[in-house]
Amino acid sequence: MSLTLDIEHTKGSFKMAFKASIPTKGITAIYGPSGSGKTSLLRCISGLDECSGEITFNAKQWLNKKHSLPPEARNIAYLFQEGLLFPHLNAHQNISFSNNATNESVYQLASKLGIKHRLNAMPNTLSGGEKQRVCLCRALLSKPDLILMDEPLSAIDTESKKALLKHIHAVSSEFGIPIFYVSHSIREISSIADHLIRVESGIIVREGNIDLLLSQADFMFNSPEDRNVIMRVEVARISKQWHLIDVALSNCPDIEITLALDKEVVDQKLRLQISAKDVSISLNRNADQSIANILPCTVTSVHPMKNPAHKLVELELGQQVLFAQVTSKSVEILKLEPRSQVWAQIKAVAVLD
Amino acid sequence: MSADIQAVILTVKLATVTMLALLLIATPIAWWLSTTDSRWKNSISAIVTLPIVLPPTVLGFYLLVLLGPEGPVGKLTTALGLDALVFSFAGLVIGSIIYSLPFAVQPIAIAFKAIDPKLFELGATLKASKWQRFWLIAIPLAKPGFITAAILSFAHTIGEFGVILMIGGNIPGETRVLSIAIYEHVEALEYERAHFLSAGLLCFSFFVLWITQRLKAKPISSGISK
Repeated sequence: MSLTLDIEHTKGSFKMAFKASIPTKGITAIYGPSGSGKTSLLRCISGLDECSGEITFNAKQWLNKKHSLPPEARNIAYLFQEGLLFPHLNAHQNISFSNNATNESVYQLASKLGIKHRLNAMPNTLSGGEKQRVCLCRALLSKPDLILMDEPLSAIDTESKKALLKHIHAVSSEFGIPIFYVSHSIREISSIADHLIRVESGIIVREGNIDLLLSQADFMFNSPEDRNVIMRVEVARISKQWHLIDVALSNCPDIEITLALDKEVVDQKLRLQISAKDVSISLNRNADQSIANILPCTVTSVHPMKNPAHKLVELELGQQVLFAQVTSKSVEILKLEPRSQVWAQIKAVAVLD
Repeated sequence: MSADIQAVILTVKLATVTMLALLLIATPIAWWLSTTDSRWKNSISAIVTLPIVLPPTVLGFYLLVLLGPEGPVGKLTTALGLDALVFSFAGLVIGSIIYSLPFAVQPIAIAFKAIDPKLFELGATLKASKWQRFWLIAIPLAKPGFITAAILSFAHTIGEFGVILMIGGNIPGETRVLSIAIYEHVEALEYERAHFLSAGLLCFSFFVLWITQRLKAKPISSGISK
């Protein structure tokens, strides 16, 4: 089951050509910098923007040379950036707009999304987070085959963002409706997506399973100056005595990382972000010191940085990539070169979810 | 005095029929003008707006020629065995519709244009057909425009004089509306009766403008719910 597309689209002088076969299962993130054509890709899929070529969704032709199905015939739902609601209808009327949702089903889903008490409110009295939850509720009750989300968290404060991401993740698995999620935030994407498409300058440059892509060194296109990696882990054990949790890397369960337990762990699966600045390198294990996470790695390459005093060392940790920012002097003294066996000392880890 | 009351009733009847007919006619024109990219848009818009700048007597004169027994429409109605439209209430309605057309089309077109086009896209992604998007999104959101259009076309018809004089004449109960009655009273030097009707019209006009301003101050589209 997939959505295959081979389309061309022009917006002013910006020419785009997208070709891909996207699995229609779970959450697919469409990722790329601003102005790269992410939203245009989503609008072409929805039929809101005209394009030429072919789009086939689960064996059903949406677009071919002869005709194009209008958006209303594609059975999709679209979440716009700003949590778009009809201003003349209250939350409940917005949710049941042009669908046959019963009051019972509206109440049920609204209470799950935490907006039941706001159903009689007009859109201009709702917060950004509430608006987007009303939109999500409406999208789900219209029973679409595919939900398209265009940066749905862009107009929402950090706390509501976390809550809404959880809702999106939960409904995606509960309702089994595939979601295409446009974002330029790797943080958002890495916490919910299963599949990833990277768009740059109007074309799809990479596509694949998110764990695989995120563990590849060249995928993160941020500059060497703020290089970091995101890894998926699973909780292995919790030590109540020391308030610590041990997590194992999803793509390499033998490797474990210890984290401070700062609140109740709800999810078994977590995503960690480790910045190159927080990783140092030693040739021996140096057990008599305070750093908890010391892991055996292999150097794969050493890259220069803008400041000649520093170098970026790319490490291999099982199947996972890790970066360490060290001084050029240390590279010289430790004789760091590809295939060197070293110990990476991880000073700080950020938990994303 | 009963003749004056008859004139008031006739005027209100004419204004009501004209207003209702205009809401029906102006809506599709306004929708087309606010959504089309056609090269005819400017020409059609100019034709619709023409009655604002044209002297009512000029409009009345051409309508008289057109609707009169020798005019193309007049010949058609005669051939169909119908009464001539000039000097009849039906003729007045046609004249009033044309005369007040821009006062109905413009507020509705402006209201349609003010709707965020993304709302129609949203409607499409929620499986609403073009027709449903028009009825469920465009019409309710353009409500202030419809109210302004209704008030202006009603009030404009009440104050109509030139066109009616040209195509309607002065037949009591059929074409003798308020403005004609006032004109007749002045001609006959019945200033007291002219005063009575004129003051009534003055108060009415003030009231209409006051209501319009109040409605403008309270936008209906934003959905006040407190």
